[in-house]
Amino acid sequence: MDVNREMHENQRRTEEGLSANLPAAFHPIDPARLRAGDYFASLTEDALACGLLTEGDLFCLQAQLPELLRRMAVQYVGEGSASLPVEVAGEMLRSLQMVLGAALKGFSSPEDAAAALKARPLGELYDEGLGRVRQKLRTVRVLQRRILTRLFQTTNVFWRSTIEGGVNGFFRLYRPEFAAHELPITADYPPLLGRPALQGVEFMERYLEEIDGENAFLRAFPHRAVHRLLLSLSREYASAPVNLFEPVCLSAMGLTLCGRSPLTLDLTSGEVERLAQGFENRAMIRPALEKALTRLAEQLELPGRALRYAAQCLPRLEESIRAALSLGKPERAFLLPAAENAAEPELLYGEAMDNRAYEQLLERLLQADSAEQQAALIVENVHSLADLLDLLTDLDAEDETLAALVKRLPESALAGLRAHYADGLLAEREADRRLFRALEMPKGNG
Amino acid sequence: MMKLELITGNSESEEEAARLLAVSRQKREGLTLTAEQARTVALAHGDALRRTGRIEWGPSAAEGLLNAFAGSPWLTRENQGQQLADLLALFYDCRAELPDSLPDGWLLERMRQAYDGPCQGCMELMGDCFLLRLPRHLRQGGRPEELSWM
Repeated sequence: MDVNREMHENQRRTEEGLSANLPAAFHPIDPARLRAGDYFASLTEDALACGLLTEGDLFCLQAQLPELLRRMAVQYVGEGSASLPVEVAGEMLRSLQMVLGAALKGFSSPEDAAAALKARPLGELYDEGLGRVRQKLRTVRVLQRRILTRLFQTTNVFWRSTIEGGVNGFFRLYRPEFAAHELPITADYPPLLGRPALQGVEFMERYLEEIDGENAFLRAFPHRAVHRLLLSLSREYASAPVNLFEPVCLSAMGLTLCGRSPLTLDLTSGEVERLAQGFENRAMIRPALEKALTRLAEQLELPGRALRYAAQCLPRLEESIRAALSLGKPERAFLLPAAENAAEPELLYGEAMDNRAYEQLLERLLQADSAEQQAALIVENVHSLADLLDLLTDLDAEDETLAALVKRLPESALAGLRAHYADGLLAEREADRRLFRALEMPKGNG
Repeated sequence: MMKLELITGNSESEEEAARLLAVSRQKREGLTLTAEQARTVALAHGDALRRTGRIEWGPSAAEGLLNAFAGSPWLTRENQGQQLADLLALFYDCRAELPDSLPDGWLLERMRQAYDGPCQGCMELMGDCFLLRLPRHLRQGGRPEELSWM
């Protein structure tokens, strides 16, 4: 799909979200001015300013607060207590505002939302908002699962540990009834579009949508090519909170503009120079990127969410190119990949087995006489991390087998696995957690 | 920027005093507060909430305290105003040390037991029990219900 068409389609959908049959005079609140991360306060301010709400209406809203807070407090401490620390009550108020905001965002226009604030009990709106927050939690779980089942493989620890460990931690710690506004984890991986200016589960939903877009884009490329490219960003990229998408996207676009296949991610210094010359007129950058993205989408058959995300990132990509050009260093935007013989952990980047080979190996493992024999078979035949984890799950491998396996693996593979499992104990799969524990044992043990 | 205003502390002392007077008159046992004594307790209530940084809703802990200590042999017509005010201050100081999930009633019951029993109406001894022994017990990992006052 053409990028410009995609962007215009998004605009049209946003506009249709407003009551399309009313003239402009009946839309006194500008949705673009409303703060998504503080929607309740922002909407009441603007509604008051344009007369959709009066001071009397605000007084009525205020008068309903103590009862709502009392309900929350009773749920929090039980019926037996009559007081709470002010800080806790303050956090509950912030939670209440976030939930009300979630309810108000569900109306087809800000004017309808303001009308609801006037006409409906606050408790009713709160219950609706809490329902929407819980629904978003369910959506986020599904989104996480989808990303994890097709996760782009990389040694960067923040990528997987955030999506798996970090998000699992969020599910464990998030309490929408009392602290809907909180983000009880650090979302370490930095998407190119930036961390959303939202609260609680709304943040997590948008954050994972961004990661979903980046993941779908990255999966279009061979991971070895991505690895070589990111090594030139930093030899330590595996242990740094760096964005993976931007260098890959810019390299791919650069190659497309130079008329080469984007899959190799191997721009030459000559090509980077030519790109820089082509962008001497800075006004040419955006149209060129749009054209490149359209071609990329066709060549790589990018999924819709990858294309939409990349289209949203165009302003930032343009900014990066401008910044690099202004320093006279275009290679800071269009990276030159690391050398061909750059070291990489073989276990992660090998090819996955076909089903028949997998079943045959599993059969041999089940018939093996000892943990040592199982470990030897695994090291000899398994070259992909996904296959390793599936085998350990299907085999229900004992800790003894895992310890024997860890003893046999070369240091480079172990380093890659340890980098992969920075938050291993928060992993969803038991096989991941057990492998993590085995990796943590000194090599002489077991 | 329009934000929800947080209402802290309690309502006006005069309203609070009137409520406490009404509660005191409804009790089946124990002495009835005078208006002056009710005002003393109400003022202590407001001060304690502000000092300990707490917000209250519904029937207040002050009303709970009046009911919990009704009939205590150590409260006299002369001293009950000030004693109840001191007990209320002690209640909130102690409340701030305890988990939020522990009911007010549990603490009031323990205070009445200690006041009538080993402390024999002495506020200094009550302070020792609830501001020294209890926090120390909690810091050492003990659960509130496991503390013995004897």
